Amino acid sequence: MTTPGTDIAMKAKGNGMMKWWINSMWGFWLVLLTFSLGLATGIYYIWLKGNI
Amino acid sequence: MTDTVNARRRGAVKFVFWTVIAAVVMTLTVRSYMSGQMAEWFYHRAAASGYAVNADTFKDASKSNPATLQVTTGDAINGLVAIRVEKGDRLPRNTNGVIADTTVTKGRRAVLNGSTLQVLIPWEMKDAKGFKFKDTFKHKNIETWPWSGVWNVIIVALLGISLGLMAEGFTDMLGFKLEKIQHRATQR
Amino acid sequence: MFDFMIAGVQAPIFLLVFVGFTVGIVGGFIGVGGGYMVTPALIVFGFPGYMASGIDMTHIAGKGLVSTLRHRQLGNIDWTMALTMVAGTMLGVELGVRTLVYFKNLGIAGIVLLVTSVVVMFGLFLYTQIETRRSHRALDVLKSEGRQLGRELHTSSLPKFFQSINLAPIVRCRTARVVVSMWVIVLVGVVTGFLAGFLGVGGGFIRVPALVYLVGASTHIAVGTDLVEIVFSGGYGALRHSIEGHVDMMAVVFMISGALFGAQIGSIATAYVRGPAIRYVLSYSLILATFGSVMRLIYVLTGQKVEWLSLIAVMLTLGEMIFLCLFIMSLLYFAWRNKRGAWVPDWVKPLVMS
Repeated sequence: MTTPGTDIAMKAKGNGMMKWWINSMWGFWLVLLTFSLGLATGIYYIWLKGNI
Repeated sequence: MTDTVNARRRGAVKFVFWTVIAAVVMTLTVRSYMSGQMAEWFYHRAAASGYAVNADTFKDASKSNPATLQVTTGDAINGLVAIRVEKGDRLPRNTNGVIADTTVTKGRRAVLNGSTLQVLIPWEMKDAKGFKFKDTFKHKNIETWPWSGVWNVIIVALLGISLGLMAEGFTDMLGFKLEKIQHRATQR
Repeated sequence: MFDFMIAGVQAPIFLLVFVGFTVGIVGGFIGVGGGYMVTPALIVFGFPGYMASGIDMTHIAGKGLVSTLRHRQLGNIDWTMALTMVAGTMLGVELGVRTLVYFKNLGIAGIVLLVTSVVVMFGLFLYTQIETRRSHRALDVLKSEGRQLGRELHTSSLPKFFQSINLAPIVRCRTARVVVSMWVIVLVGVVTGFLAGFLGVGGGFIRVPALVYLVGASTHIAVGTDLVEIVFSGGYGALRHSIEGHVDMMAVVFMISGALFGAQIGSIATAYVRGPAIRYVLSYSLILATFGSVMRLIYVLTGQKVEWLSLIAVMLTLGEMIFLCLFIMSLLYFAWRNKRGAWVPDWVKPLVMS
Protein backbone atom coordinates (compact mmCIF):
# COMPACT_ATOMS: atom_id res chain seq x y z
CA MET A 1 0.00 0.00 0.00
CA THR A 2 1.52 3.28 -1.07
CA THR A 3 0.80 6.65 0.51
CA PRO A 4 -0.14 9.58 -1.68
CA GLY A 5 2.69 11.88 -2.62
CA THR A 6 5.36 9.23 -3.22
CA ASP A 7 7.05 8.70 -6.57
CA ILE A 8 5.67 5.18 -6.80
CA ALA A 9 2.13 6.45 -6.33
CA MET A 10 2.66 9.03 -9.02
CA LYS A 11 4.02 6.53 -11.51
CA ALA A 12 1.15 4.04 -11.04
CA LYS A 13 -1.45 4.74 -13.72
CA GLY A 14 -4.27 3.59 -11.41
CA ASN A 15 -3.58 6.54 -9.12
CA GLY A 16 -3.89 9.10 -11.97
CA MET A 17 -7.46 10.00 -10.96
CA MET A 18 -6.45 10.59 -7.31
CA LYS A 19 -3.79 13.02 -8.49
CA TRP A 20 -6.16 14.90 -10.85
CA TRP A 21 -5.09 18.12 -9.34
CA ILE A 22 -1.48 17.63 -10.34
CA ASN A 23 -1.97 15.64 -13.55
CA SER A 24 -4.22 18.31 -15.02
CA MET A 25 -2.88 21.82 -15.60
CA TRP A 26 -6.25 23.36 -14.71
CA GLY A 27 -6.54 21.24 -11.59
CA PHE A 28 -3.10 22.31 -10.43
CA TRP A 29 -3.93 25.94 -11.22
CA LEU A 30 -7.20 25.75 -9.29
CA VAL A 31 -5.72 24.15 -6.17
CA LEU A 32 -2.80 26.60 -6.12
CA LEU A 33 -5.15 29.57 -6.57
CA THR A 34 -7.50 28.39 -3.84
CA PHE A 35 -4.57 27.95 -1.46
CA SER A 36 -3.20 31.40 -2.36
CA LEU A 37 -6.54 33.15 -1.88
CA GLY A 38 -6.95 31.37 1.44
CA LEU A 39 -3.48 32.49 2.55
CA ALA A 40 -4.24 36.05 1.38
CA THR A 41 -7.49 36.04 3.40
CA GLY A 42 -5.57 34.81 6.44
CA ILE A 43 -2.92 37.51 6.07
CA TYR A 44 -5.64 40.11 5.69
CA TYR A 45 -7.58 39.04 8.78
CA ILE A 46 -4.46 38.69 10.96
CA TRP A 47 -2.57 41.84 10.02
CA LEU A 48 -4.60 44.15 7.84
CA LYS A 49 -8.20 44.24 9.00
CA GLY A 50 -9.39 47.78 9.56
CA ASN A 51 -7.03 49.35 7.04
CA ILE A 52 -9.64 49.54 4.24
CA MET B 1 39.74 21.44 -10.96
CA THR B 2 42.09 24.41 -10.41
CA ASP B 3 39.88 26.52 -12.70
CA THR B 4 36.83 25.66 -10.58
CA VAL B 5 38.64 26.47 -7.34
CA ASN B 6 39.89 29.77 -8.79
CA ALA B 7 36.40 30.64 -10.03
CA ARG B 8 34.98 29.93 -6.58
CA ARG B 9 37.70 32.02 -4.93
CA ARG B 10 36.95 34.92 -7.29
CA GLY B 11 33.26 34.46 -6.51
CA ALA B 12 33.98 34.65 -2.80
CA VAL B 13 35.98 37.87 -3.20
CA LYS B 14 33.19 39.35 -5.35
CA PHE B 15 30.58 38.31 -2.78
CA VAL B 16 32.46 39.79 0.18
CA PHE B 17 33.28 43.03 -1.66
CA TRP B 18 29.71 43.73 -2.80
CA THR B 19 28.24 42.63 0.53
CA VAL B 20 30.38 45.26 2.24
CA ILE B 21 29.24 47.93 -0.25
CA ALA B 22 25.58 46.94 0.16
CA ALA B 23 25.92 46.92 3.95
CA VAL B 24 27.52 50.38 3.95
CA VAL B 25 24.79 51.83 1.68
CA MET B 26 22.03 50.28 3.76
CA THR B 27 23.55 51.41 7.05
CA LEU B 28 23.96 54.99 5.82
CA THR B 29 20.38 55.01 4.50
CA VAL B 30 18.92 53.63 7.72
CA ARG B 31 20.96 56.05 9.84
CA SER B 32 19.91 58.97 7.67
CA TYR B 33 16.27 57.93 8.07
CA MET B 34 16.28 57.15 11.79
CA SER B 35 18.16 60.34 12.70
CA GLY B 36 15.40 62.39 11.06
CA GLN B 37 17.68 63.70 8.30
CA MET B 38 15.43 62.26 5.58
CA ALA B 39 12.36 63.64 7.32
CA GLU B 40 13.99 67.09 7.21
CA TRP B 41 14.57 66.67 3.47
CA PHE B 42 10.97 65.51 3.04
CA TYR B 43 9.35 68.30 5.06
CA HIS B 44 11.68 70.92 3.66
CA ARG B 45 9.78 74.09 2.82
CA ALA B 46 6.28 75.48 3.09
CA ALA B 47 4.40 75.30 -0.23
CA ALA B 48 1.82 77.82 1.01
CA SER B 49 1.65 80.56 3.66
CA GLY B 50 -0.04 79.38 6.85
CA TYR B 51 0.67 77.42 10.02
CA ALA B 52 3.16 74.57 10.32
CA VAL B 53 1.75 71.76 12.47
CA ASN B 54 2.39 68.19 13.50
CA ALA B 55 -0.84 66.43 12.50
CA ASP B 56 -0.05 63.45 14.79
CA THR B 57 -0.78 65.67 17.81
CA PHE B 58 -4.46 66.14 16.87
CA LYS B 59 -5.32 62.53 16.03
CA ASP B 60 -8.72 62.68 17.72
CA ALA B 61 -9.80 66.17 16.77
CA SER B 62 -13.39 66.66 15.58
CA LYS B 63 -16.01 69.38 15.21
CA SER B 64 -17.47 68.59 18.63
CA ASN B 65 -14.03 68.12 20.21
CA PRO B 66 -11.63 70.45 18.37
CA ALA B 67 -7.90 70.42 19.08
CA THR B 68 -6.58 73.78 20.25
CA LEU B 69 -3.11 74.69 18.96
CA GLN B 70 -1.15 77.58 20.45
CA VAL B 71 0.19 79.82 17.67
CA THR B 72 3.82 80.51 18.53
CA THR B 73 7.29 81.03 17.07
CA GLY B 74 10.27 78.70 17.14
CA ASP B 75 12.21 76.15 15.13
CA ALA B 76 10.47 72.99 16.32
CA ILE B 77 6.91 71.79 16.85
CA ASN B 78 6.43 70.17 20.26
CA GLY B 79 2.91 69.20 21.24
CA LEU B 80 -0.18 71.19 20.36
CA VAL B 81 1.49 74.22 18.77
CA ALA B 82 1.35 75.85 15.35
CA ILE B 83 4.17 78.00 13.95
CA ARG B 84 3.48 80.75 11.42
CA VAL B 85 5.31 80.22 8.07
CA GLU B 86 5.31 82.06 4.76
CA LYS B 87 5.48 80.30 1.38
CA GLY B 88 9.05 79.17 0.73
CA ASP B 89 10.16 79.26 4.40
CA ARG B 90 12.12 76.33 5.83
CA LEU B 91 9.79 74.23 7.96
CA PRO B 92 10.36 73.85 11.71
CA ARG B 93 11.46 70.43 12.97
CA ASN B 94 8.67 67.84 13.56
CA THR B 95 6.37 69.50 11.02
CA ASN B 96 4.38 67.10 8.87
CA GLY B 97 1.82 69.46 7.37
CA VAL B 98 0.94 73.12 6.83
CA ILE B 99 -2.56 74.51 7.38
CA ALA B 100 -2.83 77.09 4.61
CA ASP B 101 -4.28 80.59 5.17
CA THR B 102 -7.00 79.86 2.60
CA THR B 103 -8.16 76.89 4.72
CA VAL B 104 -8.26 79.00 7.88
CA THR B 105 -10.24 81.70 6.04
CA LYS B 106 -12.83 79.12 4.91
CA GLY B 107 -13.16 77.96 8.52
CA ARG B 108 -14.45 74.44 7.77
CA ARG B 109 -11.40 72.48 8.88
CA ALA B 110 -9.51 74.96 11.03
CA VAL B 111 -10.45 78.26 12.70
CA LEU B 112 -8.17 81.02 14.03
CA ASN B 113 -9.20 82.47 17.41
CA GLY B 114 -6.75 85.17 18.37
CA SER B 115 -3.51 83.38 19.23
CA THR B 116 -4.99 79.87 19.04
CA LEU B 117 -5.83 77.67 16.04
CA GLN B 118 -8.75 75.31 16.44
CA VAL B 119 -8.53 72.15 14.30
CA LEU B 120 -11.84 70.43 13.57
CA ILE B 121 -10.75 67.24 11.74
CA PRO B 122 -8.55 64.36 12.86
CA TRP B 123 -5.29 63.13 11.49
CA GLU B 124 -6.79 60.11 9.71
CA MET B 125 -9.61 60.66 7.26
CA LYS B 126 -11.27 57.31 8.00
CA ASP B 127 -12.66 58.65 11.29
CA ALA B 128 -13.90 61.93 9.87
CA LYS B 129 -17.50 61.69 8.69
CA GLY B 130 -18.24 63.94 5.76
CA PHE B 131 -14.56 64.64 5.09
CA LYS B 132 -12.44 63.15 2.36
CA PHE B 133 -8.75 62.29 2.43
CA LYS B 134 -7.84 65.58 0.79
CA ASP B 135 -9.20 67.42 3.82
CA THR B 136 -6.57 66.13 6.29
CA PHE B 137 -3.42 68.15 7.02
CA LYS B 138 -0.79 65.43 7.02
CA HIS B 139 1.72 65.96 4.16
CA LYS B 140 -0.27 68.94 2.90
CA ASN B 141 1.29 72.15 1.57
CA ILE B 142 4.83 70.92 2.12
CA GLU B 143 7.65 70.96 -0.40
CA THR B 144 10.28 68.27 -0.49
CA TRP B 145 13.93 69.19 -1.10
CA PRO B 146 14.36 68.40 -4.83
CA TRP B 147 17.89 67.03 -4.42
CA SER B 148 16.51 64.35 -2.09
CA GLY B 149 15.08 62.82 -5.26
CA VAL B 150 18.56 62.53 -6.69
CA TRP B 151 19.82 61.00 -3.44
CA ASN B 152 16.98 58.47 -3.45
CA VAL B 153 17.78 57.42 -7.01
CA ILE B 154 21.49 57.11 -6.16
CA ILE B 155 20.71 55.02 -3.06
CA VAL B 156 18.38 52.74 -4.97
CA ALA B 157 20.84 52.38 -7.87
CA LEU B 158 23.73 51.56 -5.51
CA LEU B 159 21.58 49.09 -3.60
CA GLY B 160 20.37 47.42 -6.80
CA ILE B 161 23.86 47.10 -8.28
CA SER B 162 25.59 45.99 -5.07
CA LEU B 163 22.90 43.47 -4.13
CA GLY B 164 22.78 42.10 -7.68
CA LEU B 165 26.56 41.65 -7.87
CA MET B 166 26.61 40.27 -4.33
CA ALA B 167 24.15 37.60 -5.44
CA GLU B 168 26.29 36.83 -8.51
CA GLY B 169 29.34 36.45 -6.27
CA PHE B 170 27.37 34.18 -3.97
CA THR B 171 26.34 31.78 -6.73
CA ASP B 172 29.88 31.83 -8.16
CA MET B 173 31.28 31.09 -4.71
CA LEU B 174 29.00 28.08 -4.37
CA GLY B 175 30.14 26.82 -7.76
CA PHE B 176 26.59 27.15 -9.12
CA LYS B 177 27.12 27.18 -12.87
CA LEU B 178 24.83 29.47 -14.81
CA GLU B 179 25.49 29.38 -18.51
CA LYS B 180 24.23 31.79 -21.13
CA ILE B 181 20.89 30.62 -22.51
CA GLN B 182 20.93 29.43 -26.12
CA HIS B 183 18.03 31.27 -27.72
CA ARG B 184 17.26 28.64 -30.27
CA ALA B 185 13.70 28.37 -31.50
CA THR B 186 12.18 24.95 -32.07
CA GLN B 187 12.01 24.10 -35.78
CA ARG B 188 8.55 22.89 -36.80
CA MET C 1 5.45 46.83 13.36
CA PHE C 2 7.66 49.67 12.14
CA ASP C 3 6.86 53.34 12.52
CA PHE C 4 7.41 54.96 9.13
CA MET C 5 7.95 58.55 10.20
CA ILE C 6 7.75 59.98 6.68
CA ALA C 7 4.71 58.04 5.47
CA GLY C 8 3.13 58.54 8.89
CA VAL C 9 1.92 54.93 9.20
CA GLN C 10 2.80 51.82 11.12
CA ALA C 11 3.10 48.67 9.04
CA PRO C 12 4.47 45.17 9.64
CA ILE C 13 8.07 44.83 8.33
CA PHE C 14 7.44 41.16 7.52
CA LEU C 15 4.67 42.01 5.03
CA LEU C 16 6.80 44.55 3.20
CA VAL C 17 9.68 42.09 2.90
CA PHE C 18 7.19 39.36 1.87
CA VAL C 19 5.67 41.54 -0.87
CA GLY C 20 9.15 42.46 -2.09
CA PHE C 21 10.09 38.78 -2.17
CA THR C 22 6.98 37.51 -4.01
CA VAL C 23 6.88 40.32 -6.54
CA GLY C 24 10.64 39.92 -6.98
CA ILE C 25 10.12 36.30 -8.04
CA VAL C 26 7.29 37.23 -10.41
CA GLY C 27 9.14 40.25 -11.81
CA GLY C 28 12.37 38.36 -12.38
CA PHE C 29 10.48 35.57 -14.17
CA ILE C 30 8.03 37.45 -16.42
CA GLY C 31 9.82 40.80 -16.63
CA VAL C 32 7.27 43.03 -14.93
CA GLY C 33 7.75 45.62 -12.24
CA GLY C 34 4.65 44.37 -10.43
CA GLY C 35 3.26 47.83 -9.66
CA TYR C 36 -0.29 46.75 -10.46
CA MET C 37 0.02 44.26 -7.57
CA VAL C 38 2.25 46.18 -5.17
CA THR C 39 0.48 49.57 -5.15
CA PRO C 40 -2.93 48.16 -4.04
CA ALA C 41 -1.12 45.95 -1.49
CA LEU C 42 0.69 48.95 0.03
CA ILE C 43 -2.63 50.84 0.23
CA VAL C 44 -4.08 47.90 2.14
CA PHE C 45 -1.05 48.01 4.48
CA GLY C 46 -2.10 51.56 5.33
CA PHE C 47 0.08 53.72 3.12
CA PRO C 48 -1.67 56.68 1.45
CA GLY C 49 -2.29 56.08 -2.28
CA TYR C 50 0.26 58.58 -3.57
CA MET C 51 2.97 57.14 -1.25
CA ALA C 52 2.10 53.58 -2.28
CA SER C 53 2.72 54.57 -5.89
CA GLY C 54 5.97 56.41 -5.10
CA ILE C 55 7.39 53.66 -2.86
CA ASP C 56 6.50 51.04 -5.46
CA MET C 57 8.12 52.93 -8.33
CA THR C 58 11.32 53.54 -6.33
CA HIS C 59 11.64 49.92 -5.23
CA ILE C 60 11.01 48.79 -8.83
CA ALA C 61 14.10 50.71 -9.98
CA GLY C 62 16.28 48.88 -7.44
CA LYS C 63 14.67 45.50 -7.96
CA GLY C 64 14.89 45.96 -11.73
CA LEU C 65 18.67 46.41 -11.42
CA VAL C 66 19.02 43.22 -9.37
CA SER C 67 17.04 41.22 -11.97
CA THR C 68 18.79 42.88 -14.93
CA LEU C 69 22.21 41.89 -13.63
CA ARG C 70 21.18 38.25 -13.37
CA HIS C 71 19.49 38.28 -16.79
CA ARG C 72 22.65 39.82 -18.24
CA GLN C 73 24.59 36.86 -16.89
CA LEU C 74 22.06 34.51 -18.51
CA GLY C 75 22.36 36.30 -21.87
CA ASN C 76 18.71 37.38 -21.88
CA ILE C 77 19.33 41.03 -22.77
CA ASP C 78 19.49 42.41 -26.29
CA TRP C 79 21.16 45.76 -25.66
CA THR C 80 20.52 47.02 -29.20
CA MET C 81 16.79 46.46 -28.75
CA ALA C 82 16.77 47.90 -25.22
CA LEU C 83 18.63 51.10 -26.08
CA THR C 84 16.63 51.64 -29.31
CA MET C 85 13.43 51.46 -27.30
CA VAL C 86 14.36 53.77 -24.40
CA ALA C 87 13.69 57.12 -26.10
CA GLY C 88 10.37 55.86 -27.48
CA THR C 89 9.36 54.58 -24.05
CA MET C 90 10.15 57.88 -22.32
CA LEU C 91 8.22 59.85 -24.95
CA GLY C 92 5.29 57.45 -24.64
CA VAL C 93 5.25 57.75 -20.83
CA GLU C 94 5.20 61.56 -21.03
CA LEU C 95 2.30 61.45 -23.54
CA GLY C 96 0.46 58.97 -21.33
CA VAL C 97 0.83 61.13 -18.23
CA ARG C 98 -0.41 64.24 -20.10
CA THR C 99 -3.45 62.30 -21.37
CA LEU C 100 -4.17 61.19 -17.81
CA VAL C 101 -4.01 64.80 -16.59
CA TYR C 102 -6.45 65.77 -19.39
CA PHE C 103 -8.98 63.18 -18.18
CA LYS C 104 -8.28 64.18 -14.56
CA ASN C 105 -9.28 67.76 -15.40
CA LEU C 106 -12.49 66.43 -16.93
CA GLY C 107 -13.16 64.61 -13.66
CA ILE C 108 -13.45 61.14 -15.21
CA ALA C 109 -9.89 59.86 -14.78
CA GLY C 110 -10.82 57.11 -12.33
CA ILE C 111 -13.42 55.45 -14.54
CA VAL C 112 -11.43 55.86 -17.77
CA LEU C 113 -8.34 54.39 -16.08
CA LEU C 114 -10.16 51.35 -14.75
CA VAL C 115 -11.99 50.68 -18.02
CA THR C 116 -8.77 51.05 -20.05
CA SER C 117 -6.83 48.74 -17.75
CA VAL C 118 -9.59 46.10 -17.90
CA VAL C 119 -9.79 46.22 -21.70
CA VAL C 120 -6.00 46.20 -22.25
CA MET C 121 -5.25 43.47 -19.72
CA PHE C 122 -8.11 41.23 -20.80
CA GLY C 123 -7.22 41.63 -24.46
CA LEU C 124 -3.58 40.78 -23.77
CA PHE C 125 -4.61 37.82 -21.60
CA LEU C 126 -6.80 36.35 -24.36
CA TYR C 127 -4.17 36.64 -27.06
CA THR C 128 -1.31 35.40 -24.87
CA GLN C 129 -3.28 32.50 -23.43
CA ILE C 130 -4.57 31.30 -26.82
CA GLU C 131 -1.17 31.58 -28.51
CA THR C 132 0.63 29.93 -25.60
CA ARG C 133 -1.75 26.99 -25.50
CA ARG C 134 -1.17 26.49 -29.23
CA SER C 135 2.59 26.57 -28.63
CA HIS C 136 2.26 24.17 -25.70
CA ARG C 137 0.29 21.71 -27.84
CA ALA C 138 2.76 22.04 -30.68
CA LEU C 139 5.68 21.35 -28.31
CA ASP C 140 3.83 18.33 -26.95
CA VAL C 141 3.35 16.92 -30.47
CA LEU C 142 6.99 17.53 -31.41
CA LYS C 143 8.17 15.90 -28.19
CA SER C 144 6.04 12.84 -28.83
CA GLU C 145 7.62 12.61 -32.32
CA GLY C 146 11.00 12.50 -30.64
CA ARG C 147 12.11 15.84 -32.10
CA GLN C 148 14.74 18.03 -30.43
CA LEU C 149 13.02 20.92 -28.65
CA GLY C 150 14.59 24.37 -28.53
CA ARG C 151 14.09 27.05 -25.92
CA GLU C 152 11.22 28.77 -27.74
CA LEU C 153 8.27 28.15 -30.03
CA HIS C 154 5.94 30.81 -31.42
CA THR C 155 2.72 30.23 -33.32
CA SER C 156 1.84 33.87 -33.90
CA SER C 157 2.23 35.27 -37.44
CA LEU C 158 2.37 38.92 -36.30
CA PRO C 159 6.19 39.11 -35.97
CA LYS C 160 6.64 38.14 -39.64
CA PHE C 161 4.42 41.06 -40.68
CA PHE C 162 6.27 43.60 -38.54
CA GLN C 163 9.67 42.27 -39.54
CA SER C 164 8.70 42.69 -43.20
CA ILE C 165 8.24 46.45 -42.76
CA ASN C 166 11.16 47.91 -44.70
CA LEU C 167 11.51 51.40 -43.18
CA ALA C 168 15.15 52.44 -42.78
CA PRO C 169 17.17 52.25 -40.62
CA ILE C 170 17.03 48.50 -40.21
CA VAL C 171 18.39 47.23 -36.90
CA ARG C 172 20.18 43.91 -36.32
CA CYS C 173 19.42 42.66 -32.84
CA ARG C 174 22.13 40.02 -32.61
CA THR C 175 21.23 38.43 -29.29
CA ALA C 176 17.54 38.23 -30.19
CA ARG C 177 18.43 37.11 -33.76
CA VAL C 178 15.91 39.60 -35.12
CA VAL C 179 16.31 41.99 -38.04
CA VAL C 180 13.65 44.68 -37.94
CA SER C 181 13.05 48.34 -38.74
CA MET C 182 14.14 50.66 -35.91
CA TRP C 183 10.73 52.36 -36.19
CA VAL C 184 8.93 49.17 -35.17
CA ILE C 185 10.97 49.00 -31.96
CA VAL C 186 10.48 52.73 -31.28
CA LEU C 187 6.73 52.38 -31.96
CA VAL C 188 6.53 49.49 -29.49
CA GLY C 189 8.32 51.73 -26.97
CA VAL C 190 5.97 54.68 -27.58
CA VAL C 191 2.74 52.66 -27.42
CA THR C 192 3.75 50.61 -24.37
CA GLY C 193 5.20 53.73 -22.71
CA PHE C 194 1.94 55.60 -23.37
CA LEU C 195 -0.14 52.84 -21.76
CA ALA C 196 2.32 52.67 -18.85
CA GLY C 197 2.24 56.43 -18.28
CA PHE C 198 -1.54 56.54 -18.59
CA LEU C 199 -2.22 53.56 -16.33
CA GLY C 200 0.55 54.57 -13.91
CA VAL C 201 2.45 51.29 -14.16
CA GLY C 202 5.91 50.15 -15.27
CA GLY C 203 4.51 48.65 -18.46
CA GLY C 204 6.23 45.26 -18.38
CA PHE C 205 3.00 43.32 -18.77
CA ILE C 206 2.38 45.21 -22.03
CA ARG C 207 5.98 45.40 -23.27
CA VAL C 208 6.88 41.72 -22.89
CA PRO C 209 4.00 40.48 -25.10
CA ALA C 210 4.67 43.37 -27.51
CA LEU C 211 8.34 42.37 -27.89
CA VAL C 212 7.35 38.73 -28.38
CA TYR C 213 4.37 39.17 -30.71
CA LEU C 214 5.31 42.33 -32.63
CA VAL C 215 9.11 42.41 -32.77
CA GLY C 216 9.50 38.62 -32.70
CA ALA C 217 11.96 38.32 -29.81
CA SER C 218 12.02 35.12 -27.78
CA THR C 219 10.22 35.30 -24.44
CA HIS C 220 13.48 35.14 -22.46
CA ILE C 221 14.99 38.03 -24.44
CA ALA C 222 11.72 40.00 -24.07
CA VAL C 223 11.85 39.51 -20.28
CA GLY C 224 15.49 40.52 -19.90
CA THR C 225 15.28 43.45 -22.33
CA ASP C 226 12.09 44.72 -20.74
CA LEU C 227 13.73 44.76 -17.32
CA VAL C 228 16.34 47.18 -18.70
CA GLU C 229 13.48 49.51 -19.74
CA ILE C 230 11.97 49.13 -16.29
CA VAL C 231 15.23 50.27 -14.69
CA PHE C 232 15.13 53.47 -16.79
CA SER C 233 11.42 54.16 -16.35
CA GLY C 234 11.57 53.15 -12.67
CA GLY C 235 14.55 55.41 -12.08
CA TYR C 236 12.82 58.35 -13.74
CA GLY C 237 9.60 57.58 -11.85
CA ALA C 238 11.55 57.35 -8.57
CA LEU C 239 13.06 60.79 -9.20
CA ARG C 240 9.70 62.41 -10.02
CA HIS C 241 7.87 60.76 -7.12
CA SER C 242 10.64 61.66 -4.65
CA ILE C 243 10.52 65.33 -5.68
CA GLU C 244 6.73 65.32 -5.27
CA GLY C 245 7.12 63.91 -1.73
CA HIS C 246 5.73 60.43 -2.41
CA VAL C 247 8.58 58.23 -1.18
CA ASP C 248 9.40 56.77 2.22
CA MET C 249 12.89 55.24 1.83
CA MET C 250 12.64 52.80 4.76
CA ALA C 251 9.67 51.11 3.09
CA VAL C 252 11.73 50.93 -0.11
CA VAL C 253 14.69 49.40 1.74
CA PHE C 254 12.49 46.71 3.33
CA MET C 255 10.94 45.82 0.00
CA ILE C 256 14.28 45.67 -1.82
CA SER C 257 15.60 43.35 0.93
CA GLY C 258 12.86 40.87 0.05
CA ALA C 259 13.19 41.54 -3.68
CA LEU C 260 16.91 40.64 -3.59
CA PHE C 261 16.07 36.98 -2.92
CA GLY C 262 12.90 36.92 -4.99
CA ALA C 263 14.47 38.47 -8.07
CA GLN C 264 17.28 35.90 -7.97
CA ILE C 265 14.88 32.96 -7.83
CA GLY C 266 12.65 34.39 -10.57
CA SER C 267 15.50 35.29 -12.91
CA ILE C 268 17.39 32.00 -12.46
CA ALA C 269 14.14 30.06 -12.93
CA THR C 270 13.96 31.32 -16.54
CA ALA C 271 17.05 29.19 -17.31
CA TYR C 272 15.08 26.04 -16.51
CA VAL C 273 11.93 26.66 -18.53
CA ARG C 274 10.89 27.19 -22.12
CA GLY C 275 9.26 30.35 -23.50
CA PRO C 276 5.62 29.15 -23.24
CA ALA C 277 6.02 28.58 -19.46
CA ILE C 278 6.88 32.24 -18.99
CA ARG C 279 4.00 33.31 -21.25
CA TYR C 280 1.57 31.17 -19.25
CA VAL C 281 2.56 32.86 -16.00
CA LEU C 282 2.27 36.27 -17.69
CA SER C 283 -1.26 35.46 -18.94
CA TYR C 284 -2.33 34.29 -15.44
CA SER C 285 -0.99 37.51 -14.00
CA LEU C 286 -3.05 39.46 -16.54
CA ILE C 287 -6.36 37.66 -15.93
CA LEU C 288 -6.06 37.90 -12.15
CA ALA C 289 -5.20 41.59 -12.37
CA THR C 290 -8.21 42.04 -14.72
CA PHE C 291 -10.55 40.48 -12.12
CA GLY C 292 -9.12 42.79 -9.46
CA SER C 293 -9.70 45.83 -11.70
CA VAL C 294 -13.24 44.69 -12.56
CA MET C 295 -14.06 44.40 -8.83
CA ARG C 296 -12.66 47.89 -8.24
CA LEU C 297 -14.61 49.24 -11.26
CA ILE C 298 -17.92 47.78 -10.04
CA TYR C 299 -17.15 49.11 -6.55
CA VAL C 300 -16.63 52.62 -7.97
CA LEU C 301 -19.70 52.39 -10.27
CA THR C 302 -21.94 51.31 -7.38
CA GLY C 303 -20.95 54.49 -5.51
CA GLN C 304 -18.42 52.72 -3.26
CA LYS C 305 -21.23 51.26 -1.18
CA VAL C 306 -20.75 47.50 -1.66
CA GLU C 307 -17.82 46.95 0.76
CA TRP C 308 -17.32 43.26 0.01
CA LEU C 309 -16.33 44.13 -3.60
CA SER C 310 -13.45 46.18 -2.30
CA LEU C 311 -12.54 43.32 0.03
CA ILE C 312 -12.50 40.82 -2.87
CA ALA C 313 -10.25 43.17 -4.85
CA VAL C 314 -7.81 43.13 -1.87
CA MET C 315 -7.92 39.31 -1.64
CA LEU C 316 -7.24 39.03 -5.37
CA THR C 317 -4.28 41.41 -5.20
CA LEU C 318 -2.57 39.55 -2.35
CA GLY C 319 -3.68 36.14 -3.58
CA GLU C 320 -2.40 36.86 -7.10
CA MET C 321 1.11 37.60 -5.85
CA ILE C 322 1.20 34.42 -3.77
CA PHE C 323 -0.30 32.29 -6.58
CA LEU C 324 2.17 33.47 -9.24
CA CYS C 325 5.08 33.01 -6.85
CA LEU C 326 3.97 29.44 -5.99
CA PHE C 327 3.38 28.56 -9.65
CA ILE C 328 6.87 29.71 -10.63
CA MET C 329 8.46 27.80 -7.75
CA SER C 330 6.46 24.73 -8.76
CA LEU C 331 7.80 24.99 -12.32
CA LEU C 332 11.32 25.24 -10.91
CA TYR C 333 10.72 22.19 -8.72
CA PHE C 334 9.30 20.20 -11.65
CA ALA C 335 12.24 21.26 -13.84
CA TRP C 336 14.66 19.99 -11.20
CA ARG C 337 12.77 16.69 -10.93
CA ASN C 338 12.62 16.34 -14.73
CA LYS C 339 16.38 16.84 -14.97
CA ARG C 340 16.90 14.04 -12.43
CA GLY C 341 14.57 11.75 -14.37
CA ALA C 342 11.90 11.75 -11.67
CA TRP C 343 8.19 11.81 -12.44
CA VAL C 344 6.56 15.07 -13.47
CA PRO C 345 3.00 15.66 -14.79
CA ASP C 346 2.71 15.27 -18.58
CA TRP C 347 1.65 18.89 -19.08
CA VAL C 348 4.89 20.09 -17.50
CA LYS C 349 7.34 18.15 -19.73
CA PRO C 350 7.18 20.43 -22.81
CA LEU C 351 7.40 23.52 -20.60
CA VAL C 352 10.66 22.73 -18.80
CA MET C 353 14.16 22.08 -20.05
CA SER C 354 15.39 18.51 -19.83
